[in-house]
Amino acid sequence: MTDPPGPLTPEAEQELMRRMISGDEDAVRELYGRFGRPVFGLGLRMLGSSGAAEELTQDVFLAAWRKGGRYDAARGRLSTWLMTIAHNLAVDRLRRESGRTPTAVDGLDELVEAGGIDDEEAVLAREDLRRALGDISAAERRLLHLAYLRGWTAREIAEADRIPVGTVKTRLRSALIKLRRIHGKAEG
Amino acid sequence: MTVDCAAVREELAEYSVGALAAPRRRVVSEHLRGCAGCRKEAGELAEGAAVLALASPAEPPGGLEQRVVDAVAGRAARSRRRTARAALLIAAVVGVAAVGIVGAMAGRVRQAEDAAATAREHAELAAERFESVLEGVGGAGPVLSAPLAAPGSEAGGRAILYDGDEGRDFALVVIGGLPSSGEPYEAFLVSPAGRRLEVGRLRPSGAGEHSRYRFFAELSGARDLVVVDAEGRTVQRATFPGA
Repeated sequence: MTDPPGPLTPEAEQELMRRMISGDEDAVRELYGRFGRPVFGLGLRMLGSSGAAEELTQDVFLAAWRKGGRYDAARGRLSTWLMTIAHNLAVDRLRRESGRTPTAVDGLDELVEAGGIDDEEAVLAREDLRRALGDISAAERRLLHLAYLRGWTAREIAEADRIPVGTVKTRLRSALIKLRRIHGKAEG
Repeated sequence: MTVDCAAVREELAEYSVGALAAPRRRVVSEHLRGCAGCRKEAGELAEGAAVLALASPAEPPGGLEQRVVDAVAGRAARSRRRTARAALLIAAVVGVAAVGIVGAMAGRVRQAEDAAATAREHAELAAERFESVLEGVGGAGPVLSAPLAAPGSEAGGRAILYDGDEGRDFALVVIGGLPSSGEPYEAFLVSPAGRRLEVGRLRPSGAGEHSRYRFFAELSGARDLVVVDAEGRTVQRATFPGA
C-alpha cells in the first residue's frame, strides 16, 4: 500500500464518495489508501486478531458503499464519518461475539506507542494523540479505554468503578472535547 | 433547545463512543435526524472519538486491498442489475395495476361510499403487489409501507418506501377514494424537519384511484407522506413505521 496522500477538500471528499458508490474501482482504492490502515488498526486493537480486523475492514468499506448516498461533506469530515462506521461495526461485533469478555487489545497508553508504520503522517498522528492524552486525566483515559475500545456502556463503567453514572458521562464528554481540539492538526 | 434536546445532549458523549445501549441509541438517532443543534454537537464529539481511531493505524495484509475493491465493485455491479430489473418490474406492475383498477370499475354505477370503499381495497391490493414485487427483487434495505388515512374520511391508499442501494431509493403512493374534482392532488415526502420532497401529481379516476412513483437519491430521513389538494390542504397522511 502506498502512503496516504494529503487531505481532501469537502468538495473532493463528496466527489470521492459519489464515485465510490457508483462502484468506481479507482475511487475504492483511493478511499482504501486513505483509511485502510486506520480501519484495520482499529479492528486489530478492538477485536484482537488479524483475521477479525480483515473482516471488519471489508465490512466497513462495503458499509461505506451502501451508506455513501447519506454522506454529506457539509456535515462533517469523511474521516469522522468512516471511522464512526468502523467503530460502530467493531462495537457491534464485540457485543455480539464476546459479550463483556475483554479482548486482547492494548490500552490507550499503549496505543500511542504502537509501531509498525513509520510514515510521517502516522507518527504525527501518534504525537498529537500523545499530547492530547497528556491533557486528560487518568480517569478520563480509563473511561475512553473502556467505552471506546471495549464497548462498555456508561452504566457498566459506573458499576465497575463504583462511581455515579453522571460522573462517567461528564468525564467522557470532557475527554472527547479535548481530543477534538487536535482533530484539525491530525488531518491538516 | 427543547426538553428533548437537554436529555439527548446528556447522552451524546456516550452515543459518540458507541457506549449507549441500543434502545436509547435509537431514540438519540431519531432526535438527531430532526435537530440541527444537537447534530452539530454530536458531530463535534464524534470528531474527538475519531482521533482515537485515526491514531492507531496498522499495516493490513497485502491482498486485503484487492479483496475490498472486488467486494465493493461486485456489489455495485449486482446492485445496478437489480435496480434496472426492479425499475422494469415496477413499471410493468404499475401498468397492470392501473388496467386492473380501470377494468374493475368500467360500466359500474356505485354509490359514492361504495366506490370509495372499493377504491381503498384496490389501492391496498395494488400496494401489496408492489411490495411483493419489491421484496421479490430483493434489496439492500427494507420496504417501509404505511396506510394513507384522513380523520373522518373513507379515502384510503398506501405509501411505500424502498431503501435501495447506490442512492436509488424509491417512493410509491397509491390513493383510493379521494374525490375527483378535476384539480390534481400532490404527494410529498416530509422529513422530520418538515422539508418536503415532491413525489408527484395525482389525478384520481372517477372512483378516486391513482398511483405515482418516483426514484430519489436518498430517502432515509423521510418520516411521513402527505397528499395535499389544490388549495394546499393535507387530505391524507401516512406515517412510516420506525421512520
